[in-house]
Amino acid sequence: MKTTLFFFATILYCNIIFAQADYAKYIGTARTSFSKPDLEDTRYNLMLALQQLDMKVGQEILKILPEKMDSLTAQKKLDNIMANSAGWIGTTIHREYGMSQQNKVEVDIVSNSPMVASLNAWLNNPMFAQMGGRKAMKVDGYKGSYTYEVSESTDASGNAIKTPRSEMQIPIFSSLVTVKCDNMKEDDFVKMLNTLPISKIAEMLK
Amino acid sequence: MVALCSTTIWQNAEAQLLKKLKDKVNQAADKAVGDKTGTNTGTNTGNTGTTGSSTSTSSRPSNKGGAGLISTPPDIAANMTSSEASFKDNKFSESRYALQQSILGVELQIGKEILKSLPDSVQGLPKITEKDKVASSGWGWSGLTISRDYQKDDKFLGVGIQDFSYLGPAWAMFLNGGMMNSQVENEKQKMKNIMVKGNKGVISYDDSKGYTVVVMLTQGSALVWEGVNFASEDDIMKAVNTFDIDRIKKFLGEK
Repeated sequence: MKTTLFFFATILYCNIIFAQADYAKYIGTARTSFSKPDLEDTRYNLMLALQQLDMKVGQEILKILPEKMDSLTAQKKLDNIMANSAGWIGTTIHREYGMSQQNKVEVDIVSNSPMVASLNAWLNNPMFAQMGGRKAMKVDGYKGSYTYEVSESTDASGNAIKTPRSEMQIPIFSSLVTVKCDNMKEDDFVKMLNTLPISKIAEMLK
Repeated sequence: MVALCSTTIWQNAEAQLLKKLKDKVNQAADKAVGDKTGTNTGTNTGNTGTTGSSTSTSSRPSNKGGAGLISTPPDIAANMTSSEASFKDNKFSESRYALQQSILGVELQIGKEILKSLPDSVQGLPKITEKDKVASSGWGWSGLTISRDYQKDDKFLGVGIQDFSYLGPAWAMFLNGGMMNSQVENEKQKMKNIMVKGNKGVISYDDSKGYTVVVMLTQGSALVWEGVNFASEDDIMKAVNTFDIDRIKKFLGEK
């Protein structure tokens, strides 16, 4: 177990080092290209530097996420950052807490999310803020949309299983923070959400 | 989808509500000014306030001109340095902003270079310099838009160059598909595939809009021409072929 943890910690550390090194490398190449001047190559390398910067921001955000949410431990080996500076969606950051499907929390942060505009419009409209099976609430001072639904299925013996599912979406600038969880009461879910350092994440996403 | 529909409905409702509110405020303001100046006739039921001396005092003046904004394209090199310094200090937000400003500066410069390379006139249509446009979001490949208009009397040619990398796969399907690329209505061909200097493209014709030619470049950029009052397909294609597509590709880093 210790070896595995050390292995993943090493990978994470290496990724951080590589992101820093690559950022410096791409900025350096962009500077050289600009002095020629080769504008297209300058642009290309600046875009790559931006990707590396987004990777770095993703790593920093993962660092400030709590080690535990409720009683569930962060599954750091499943941490995922995907920097995509190629247009409408930016970086996606993913973290899971808990081992089993029945008892798992997922945190996703997507920068430049196309969902943000409609979500903000919904949140800022008192007429709609309590409609559509969801409601508005605040986490760490940030408004978000809370959805609670119960999905029904059957087990192998044909018995009905009801699974309550909670989801919170919090728009921050152009980014969207989503927290999903099964089998948790609303009060417990909200309590758990308040352990997320949303203000610090917002500072990073600015 | 529900959220989007709700938002749209709400926005329409809000717009109507705001308009009504604005009209009411204007009426109240007109009345108040009229009372003070003694110009109210006592039965002011109009909601636009277009008559009487109250109009000149309460309505917002229209702008008669100004020097506009000072052109300040971002300093590319300075922003690169600033981004690097902020990155070293772990100020990622500042670093990102400076990097985006650099990209914005580079894209604007690429746009200007491309505009410089376009012909001054096309088949007797002179360029309209004041309509030259370069726009960049500073957000990467999808952000650069360049356009130029040519016009003489009622004959018009517009050319636009845009990065469409996020639409690239859709365009590739369209151009290679064979389903949608040949559209015939009332026995008249409305759209078809063409080759322009070795690049795949589409030409379409609409009585109200004229001709549109779209050429997708290798990696997502697109060239779009709009021709109004061109006599024939041959006529518009002659105009399209005066553009040096290879040179534009080179500026955009396309092969």
